Amino acid sequence: MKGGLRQSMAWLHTWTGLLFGWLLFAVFLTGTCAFFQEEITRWMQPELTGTADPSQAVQSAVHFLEGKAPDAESWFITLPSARNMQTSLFWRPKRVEGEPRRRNRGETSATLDSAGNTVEARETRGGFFLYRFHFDLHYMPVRWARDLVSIASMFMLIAILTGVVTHKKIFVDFFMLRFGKGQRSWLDAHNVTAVFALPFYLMITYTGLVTLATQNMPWGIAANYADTSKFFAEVFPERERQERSDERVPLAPIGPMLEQASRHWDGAAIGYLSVTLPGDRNATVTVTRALSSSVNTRAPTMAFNGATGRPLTLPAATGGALATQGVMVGLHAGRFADWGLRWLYFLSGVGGTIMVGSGLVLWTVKRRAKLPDPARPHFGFRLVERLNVATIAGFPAGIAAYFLTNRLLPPHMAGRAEWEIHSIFILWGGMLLYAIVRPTRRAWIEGLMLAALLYLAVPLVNALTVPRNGLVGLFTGDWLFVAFDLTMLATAAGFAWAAHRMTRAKATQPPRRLARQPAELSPAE
Amino acid sequence: MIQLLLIHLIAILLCIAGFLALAVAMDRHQRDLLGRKLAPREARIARMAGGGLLVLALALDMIGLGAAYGAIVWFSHLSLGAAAMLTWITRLASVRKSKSPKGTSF
Repeated sequence: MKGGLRQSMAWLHTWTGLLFGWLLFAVFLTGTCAFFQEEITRWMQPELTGTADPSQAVQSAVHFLEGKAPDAESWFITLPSARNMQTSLFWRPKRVEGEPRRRNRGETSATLDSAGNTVEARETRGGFFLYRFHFDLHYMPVRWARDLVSIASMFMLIAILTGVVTHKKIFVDFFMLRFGKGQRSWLDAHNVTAVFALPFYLMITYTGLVTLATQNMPWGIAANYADTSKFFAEVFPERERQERSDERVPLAPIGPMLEQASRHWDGAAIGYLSVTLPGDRNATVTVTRALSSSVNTRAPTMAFNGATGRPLTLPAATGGALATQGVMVGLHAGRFADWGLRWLYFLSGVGGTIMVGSGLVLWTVKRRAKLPDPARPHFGFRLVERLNVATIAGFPAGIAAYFLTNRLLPPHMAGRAEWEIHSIFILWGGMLLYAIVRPTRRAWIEGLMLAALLYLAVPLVNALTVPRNGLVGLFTGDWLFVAFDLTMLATAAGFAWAAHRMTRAKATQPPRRLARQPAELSPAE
Repeated sequence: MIQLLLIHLIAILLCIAGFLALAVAMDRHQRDLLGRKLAPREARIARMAGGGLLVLALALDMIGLGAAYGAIVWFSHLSLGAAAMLTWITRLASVRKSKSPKGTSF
């Protein structure tokens, strides 16, 4: 390799960052939204109101299931929490010999409020879609998507580590970092956002890879287990399968079991419970602690005999590796975080998104002045430039469109949830076409303005279409809507500011000067 | 609730103060922030005070919010503290620049 360590690291940083930059931008942005996935879902289903009382919710849920699926194989009940008012139910119907297992979850699931009424709300995938997109993408098989995202994350990790070497002066000159010093403002944005939350980026990228570790590194399991399912059976032991006794015994009251479990976990909330063979003498109730009560996502469980209500011993898999993995996944998803830390996570995520975006722009900024003929750049340059506009302006605009279509599509339209999702990609693709036909500078300014306008439109359209909004929320204590409106306005302001800067910067500085700036903080290339 | 907010707030302020002290310990920032150069001994004290304040923020977070949880929150507090402090000295530098006559260094 020519040049020193720093040059080769700079090369690696530039190209690993570029190759998957656009995907990483989308993953970072939707992953950041996913810290608030429950809140986004609640915003996207404004019909659902009320408060949640977990103990009442359990009673209502059991009552509902006893009426709906008394002889099911098992029931699964996700309890409401501080962040989610609804109880989600899912049941597996009794197996009938010779009939294939039914796969349609729609027929065997329900959402209840605390009082036990099924809730009717507009069909949407809400924040859950944004969460799933950040590792499953869309319009492609999940397996491929996860491979792609894994490779991109690996590149991200390389880009972070090589970036530390490349931009090492940002540590020496830490307090010399400045916001928006004229021509170097893209580099500043990149450096500043990178340094501030560097531990967060390292953590989130590394732990993100850990969440997909068994897919990406299957060899450890393959070397020790002939059959992968044996590995999982050992890691996640289940109680021995109970056979149906065909003797009907009513289910013991669940409330006391939950109380006992909660006491056992020092008063922690219950997140989830399942009942196998409900109504049978061999029924089992398994209670799982809420994920919000510990960093480790391997939440402990307790099992009870469903007929007598007595606790059962449960084989537990524990060990350093499992606990480490659980804590890493927990750190990544931040489900344990309360409001303060959740916002800090969100802000760090926003910083990461800006870091990736500004890094992508930097690639073109650095090369523009070195082009042999700046008026007619080569194909690769134009491609990067256009993909940048399409993704950095278009993808966030698509998410605003996701929120807008949620309010604008008719509530009972067939396939409305799918069309909400399509709107993201229509905007993204549309912006790419637009960037191809428009001169790049105009496309930048207009694309960023469009994103700003769409985010500005979200609170307005919301106020016109549903009775809940941020202004009313101020008086009624509907803080979800207050926070959502404010976040939308702040995002709109951010894009408008970026568009404004772009207009000003282009008007006052000929692009040629960019190359001759003293490369104080820039990597040697 | 109030108590939680206070812990966050005080920890962030400690981080800002910590970074400020660390900046003051560096030659190039002394004139900007203090208007004079520090003696090597003073600079060393500033550096130790800066580190100490950051450690103090960590201690507050860990005691106030739980050891594991507090340690995680501390990283965010560091980020916010650094961001706030840099925004502030950026403004300070630009204000001084616009006040001082053209051509002279601030």
